[in-house]
Amino acid sequence: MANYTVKDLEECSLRIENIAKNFGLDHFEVVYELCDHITMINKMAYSGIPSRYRHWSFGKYFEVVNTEYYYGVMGLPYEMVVNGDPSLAYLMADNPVSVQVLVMAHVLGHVNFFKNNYIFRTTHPSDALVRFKLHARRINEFIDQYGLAKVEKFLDAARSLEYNCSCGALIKGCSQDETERRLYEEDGEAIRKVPKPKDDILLFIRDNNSLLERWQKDIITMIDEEGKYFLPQIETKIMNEGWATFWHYNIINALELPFGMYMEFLKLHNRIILPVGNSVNPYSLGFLVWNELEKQRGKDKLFDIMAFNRDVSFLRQFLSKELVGKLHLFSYKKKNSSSVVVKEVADESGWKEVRNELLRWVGVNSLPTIKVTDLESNGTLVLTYFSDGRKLEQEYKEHTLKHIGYLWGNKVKLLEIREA
Amino acid sequence: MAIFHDITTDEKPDLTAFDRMRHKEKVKEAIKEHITDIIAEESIIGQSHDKTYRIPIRGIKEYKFVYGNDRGVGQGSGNEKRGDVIEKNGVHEELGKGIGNQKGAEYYETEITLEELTDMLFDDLMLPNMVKRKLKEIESQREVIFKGYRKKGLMVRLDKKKTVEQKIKRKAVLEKVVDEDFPFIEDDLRFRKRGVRMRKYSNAVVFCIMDTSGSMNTTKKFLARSFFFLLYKFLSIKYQNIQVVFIAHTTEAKELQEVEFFTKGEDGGTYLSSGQYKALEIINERFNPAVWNIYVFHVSDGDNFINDNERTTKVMGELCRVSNLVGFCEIDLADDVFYYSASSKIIHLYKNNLSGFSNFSMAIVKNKYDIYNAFRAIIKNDKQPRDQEAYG
Repeated sequence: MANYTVKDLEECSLRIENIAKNFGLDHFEVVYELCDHITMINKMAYSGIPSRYRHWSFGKYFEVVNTEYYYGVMGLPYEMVVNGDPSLAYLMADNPVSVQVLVMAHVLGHVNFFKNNYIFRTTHPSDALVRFKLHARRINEFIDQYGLAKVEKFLDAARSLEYNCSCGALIKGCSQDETERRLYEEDGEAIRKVPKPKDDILLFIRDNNSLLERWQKDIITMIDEEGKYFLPQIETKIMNEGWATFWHYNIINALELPFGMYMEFLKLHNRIILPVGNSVNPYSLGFLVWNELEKQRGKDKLFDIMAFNRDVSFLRQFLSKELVGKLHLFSYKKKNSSSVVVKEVADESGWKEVRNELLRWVGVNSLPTIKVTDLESNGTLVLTYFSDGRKLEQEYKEHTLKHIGYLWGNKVKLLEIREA
Repeated sequence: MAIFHDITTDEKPDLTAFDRMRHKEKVKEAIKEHITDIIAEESIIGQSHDKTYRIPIRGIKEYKFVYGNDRGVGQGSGNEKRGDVIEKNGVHEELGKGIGNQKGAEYYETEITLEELTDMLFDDLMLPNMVKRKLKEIESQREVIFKGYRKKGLMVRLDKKKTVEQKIKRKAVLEKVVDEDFPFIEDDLRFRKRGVRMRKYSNAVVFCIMDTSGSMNTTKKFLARSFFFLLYKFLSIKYQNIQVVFIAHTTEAKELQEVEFFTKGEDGGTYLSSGQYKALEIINERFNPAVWNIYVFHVSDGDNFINDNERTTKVMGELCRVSNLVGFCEIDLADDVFYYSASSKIIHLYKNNLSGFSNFSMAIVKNKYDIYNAFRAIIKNDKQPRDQEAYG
């Protein structure tokens, strides 16, 4: 460890928590683990969760991160925090104490978010980590019992649908009746046959494919459950990172650090909110919106906004013309594999289109809406992609359909309906 | 109050070990599909077995429903105007490809040893007729094995434990309490008995004959060496006991050491027959065809002096009679207009005169991607020489 002890960290943490308390940040307790970079990469492969089932994709993740780290393409994150009560956070032991102070303040922001944002309620933080552990134990037992090849093939297939679950409909505010009505208009004849669309493809297959064995149904249930644990993080990426950044900034300012350390902190903070290449940096986007909201309404009002929004609604309401301009956002169309053409920029006539395009790529909008819409008499499972005009990646679509065909044990068809 | 655990000093369990291993297996399957690209890498030639390589590989994809990335939002400097073309930063994904919607890195690296690579290369290539080879197996290695105990032997092979056991047994049989002074007698001594087991191995000798004349430029030599390298690796996997003879020739032939063979360049005219006679000469001196599986491979650009054509046909025929397999690989670069007419002649010449030998094969390499195919084409023709077949 660098030039500090665990005791130093405990003292820092106590001061930070006191300040956070004065700001009204109510949070889960945090358990920190200090680790070296290899342990960090190992933990990252499993999203920080201490026990997960065996699957090659975690090994792949390790290789990818390790390669990037090895070549200096990418540094490792300063921290990783796992949603749970208590929450689990990893610190890189080699970082100097000024970094750790910032990271701990940042973590408190996340943990406050986990505890209070309404869509995280479904993640059951108090026993989340235990459930992951039980899943790991069960799946590993299946592997021992039925063989790796068999279980792996089934896992690969089930994992391809892990995020195609009911959260989508809930969150997009698109009621089920509405979807059904649209189907009527599209295809007058099929009216009577069309059941209510089922959002959760995995659970539909589990409940309607009678040929599945018990262990297979069990795996589907577990994968679905794990998907639902991670979805809220996908849905609130910008809000959540912005929130954590906003609070580390405020907490550190309130700490009255000595000048030298404060400069170090500012340097690091600025690096965090710097755009990387031409990609939108969720930290700076979120941070800016929260800062603007604070100016307009004061800190106290922020907590309600945090509790009852997710990225799509948050940015739709609060990403103003000024902010789109300040961030120099632009929308683009791909030209070829290595370059893009600027379509709209953040001026009077263009900023709305830029914001709308951004909304298409944030939170749950980054996942295509695909539902079970019919079951034909010959057993063919009919899925419908409710398109907003974006194309599905062809190769991925084809292989995913193969996976679904394997889970379903019969033919699978994908229709496309263009939503208004 | 937060709790801190410093786990840097703990024993670090290798958490991802199993998943990495399984991933590696999947990668291997994928590598096999792109094998020609990898072996065409110059850097693998002449390296030792346990050297590891970090090689870029195509990612094993996890398929999900995802959007194509043909549009999106970027963050710029404020100077962007409609219609501007911007080079994408390849490293970082656009926003919105949240963790659920990531196609993931398409390319990354993994570590693999040359040994693993060659194993994978040759997994599906079998030497045909391995059964018929029995005649050519000779006892080539002595192995010392343990064969029990005996009462007489060299003191160095005394088994103390067994000897003590014997003494205890004898004491028990005497059925009287002797507290002290119960010495070892000669009958107690037990010695380990050793035997020798002969192991049978199939033996192979490979003749690598390379044309190093002036017309073989650097590219051609590289291709030739890649070919031999593959061959050498392949045969050393299939045979426990393999000898390789390296012959380089211009108008004269020389036997070389491995390192020289893979590095040395020469200049001059070409008599293909010179290298072939040299091989025949060495076979007669050192490798009795009755005991050895003989493989002869000749790589050249086929640019032979015309007055040598008759000789080379004749000696190739003789080589075919004593060998399991004779292969001729012609390096024929597409842009090599000057030598073109000459080179196709030698292929024709061999085709017309040696087609009677089922163990003779030819291949043409036009670029580095052809090497593996040429190699396969030649190896697949591996036949038992006629005089042996009667015994099969």
